[in-house]
Amino acid sequence: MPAETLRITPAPADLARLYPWLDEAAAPLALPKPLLNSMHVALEEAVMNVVMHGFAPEHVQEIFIHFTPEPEKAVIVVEDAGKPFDVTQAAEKARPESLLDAEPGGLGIKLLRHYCKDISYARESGRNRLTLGFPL
Amino acid sequence: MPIAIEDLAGGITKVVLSGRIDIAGASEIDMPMSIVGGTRRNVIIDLSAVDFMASLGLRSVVLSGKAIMSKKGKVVLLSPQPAVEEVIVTSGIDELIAIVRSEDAAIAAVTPDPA
Repeated sequence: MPAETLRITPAPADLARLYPWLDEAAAPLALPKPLLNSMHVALEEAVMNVVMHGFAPEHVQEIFIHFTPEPEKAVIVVEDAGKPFDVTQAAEKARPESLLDAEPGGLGIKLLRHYCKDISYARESGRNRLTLGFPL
Repeated sequence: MPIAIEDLAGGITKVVLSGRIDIAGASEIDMPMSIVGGTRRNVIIDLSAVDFMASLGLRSVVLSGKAIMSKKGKVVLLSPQPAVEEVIVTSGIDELIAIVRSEDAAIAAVTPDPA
């Protein structure tokens, strides 16, 4: 099965398309609900990280998401031309002592690593390429 | 609308979230949750009808909880479904906002201290 690709901008209506697009792209695999849930959590985090931190006004603000079923895993690639950011090297924030010390950012990297154990990153031709593998 | 706000006896507010608190859902709850955070002090956030929540939805809950705590208020999370609880526990938010399993326990946890 060839890769399915979704191109979105940071517009809310575009962002809301992520989940139904992924469900449709993955439908032929009939994935169990918990695995799809993990993919939704990880994809939301990966894309929102780009949207909230990755773009400066001069960047082409587009995100391409590719879904490819491989024999033993489903692969999601998130590609953008924003600031270089290697999530695989990013430090997780220390757990705050209390809710008053909590900052809303920084939760996501932990979630991404929990829901997707197979993460790789490359910067190629001015583009971030984050690859998330989900064993089937 | 994936959020309903009920005023219970004793100055307690119950916020009932429902459905998918994904990117679109989080944008729908952000403003009401900010208002709750700004105006209420004893709050139960009922997650029992939430099917999906990831970092954006959690962000809204944390910001609201932080505003409540900054007024020396109390906030708890009521009965998240397993998939939602996994997100909460993984992010460590359960150590900052307690998870309770019954409405009675939630009411007891957020009841204002006697003056």
